[in-house]
Amino acid sequence: MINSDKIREIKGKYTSELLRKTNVVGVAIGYKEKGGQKTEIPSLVVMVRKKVPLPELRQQDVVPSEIEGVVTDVREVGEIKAL
Amino acid sequence: MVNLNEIRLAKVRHATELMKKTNVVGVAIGYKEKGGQKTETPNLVVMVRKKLPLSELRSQDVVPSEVDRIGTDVKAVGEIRALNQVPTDKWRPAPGGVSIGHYAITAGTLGAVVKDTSTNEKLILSNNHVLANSNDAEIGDAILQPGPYDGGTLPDDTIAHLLRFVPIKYVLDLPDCPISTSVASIANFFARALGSKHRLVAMRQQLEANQVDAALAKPVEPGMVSDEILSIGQIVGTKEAELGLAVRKSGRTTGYTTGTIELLDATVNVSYGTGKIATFEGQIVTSAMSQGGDSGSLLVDANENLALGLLFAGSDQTTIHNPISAVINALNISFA
Repeated sequence: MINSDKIREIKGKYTSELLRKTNVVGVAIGYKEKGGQKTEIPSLVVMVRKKVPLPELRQQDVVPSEIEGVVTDVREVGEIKAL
Repeated sequence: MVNLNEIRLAKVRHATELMKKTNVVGVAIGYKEKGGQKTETPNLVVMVRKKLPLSELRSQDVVPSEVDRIGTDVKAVGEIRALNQVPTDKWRPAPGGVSIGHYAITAGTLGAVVKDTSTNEKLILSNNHVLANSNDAEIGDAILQPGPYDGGTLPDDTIAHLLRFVPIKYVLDLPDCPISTSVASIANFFARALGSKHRLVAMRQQLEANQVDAALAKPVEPGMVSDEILSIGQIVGTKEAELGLAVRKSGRTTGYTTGTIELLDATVNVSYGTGKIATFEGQIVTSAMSQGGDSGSLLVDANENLALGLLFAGSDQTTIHNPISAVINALNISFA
């Protein structure tokens, strides 16, 4: 099982690169969701404005499904605004 | 056994006199409580703001243990307010969870009353973008309760003055700006030519990250604010956020809402309007539990009155909070 130190390390290393992808607004740590259900798998959660089908994304904007063994989870959160 | 009619009579005869005593806010009929347990003895219940030891009361303010041989029961109920008072109203004293704002903004939420660690003064905690107009305010500027959008005006509704704030560092939001991109690529061309490892990335994501969107205001009079938060009560301490934790908040727009902590250690880009973006790191992400105007609300544990964070941003799907430890460190404050 991946521990949270490993995820934190990967997060530190890849956050800037992930934030440069179109639609990505945040990167965080949380449990992966599958089919709307929370699993017990800790993951690197990539927060996006909007989920876009793969064929509509340029290759460099695709979020990889795992990074150095850490599972990613793309989550749609909309535009984050100061409230 | 005393019958209800006798109690009713005693109540009619003595209500006015009882209501005149300091601290008494009501008189009613109910079962006597002993050691927190309800008994089956009906009696006259005297509702007080706060129970006080006999020694601290003047003799005329003491509630007799019986009137006309009807037993009395003193019950603490706090200050009773009309329940139709809403967070966007003017409140004095103003508790956490109500509308507040710098005179030049719309409105946000008064998070809580905190204490300055150095001076012990009572201060109002909320966001920079609520109390300091997103860096555009001057120290000493008037803070209105309710905020301007809710009808607060100068000088009648001035509750406090801006004392200090953590400046927000913005990044330029030029993700697709051809000029910045080409400037970066030209510079990178030379960097590569010179064998330099330092390449420029199109300027947007040079992470100048923020930890908090936070500010403090000093009440005009300490008595103008309350240590309570609407629907939550008084905060007794702080706690570190954990995944899955049940949480709540009390805010100007959506009032009392509950949620769950979904993500931790979040690095997020937050839009401050008109192209201004700020990156925040180490943030707490909860389920959606707020809307515009809730900014500044304190994020509190669902079971204990422990502060977890300071709400400041979000979308329809999610709400973002600064960790309370970062807020406390940045502003030199404490709870209670």
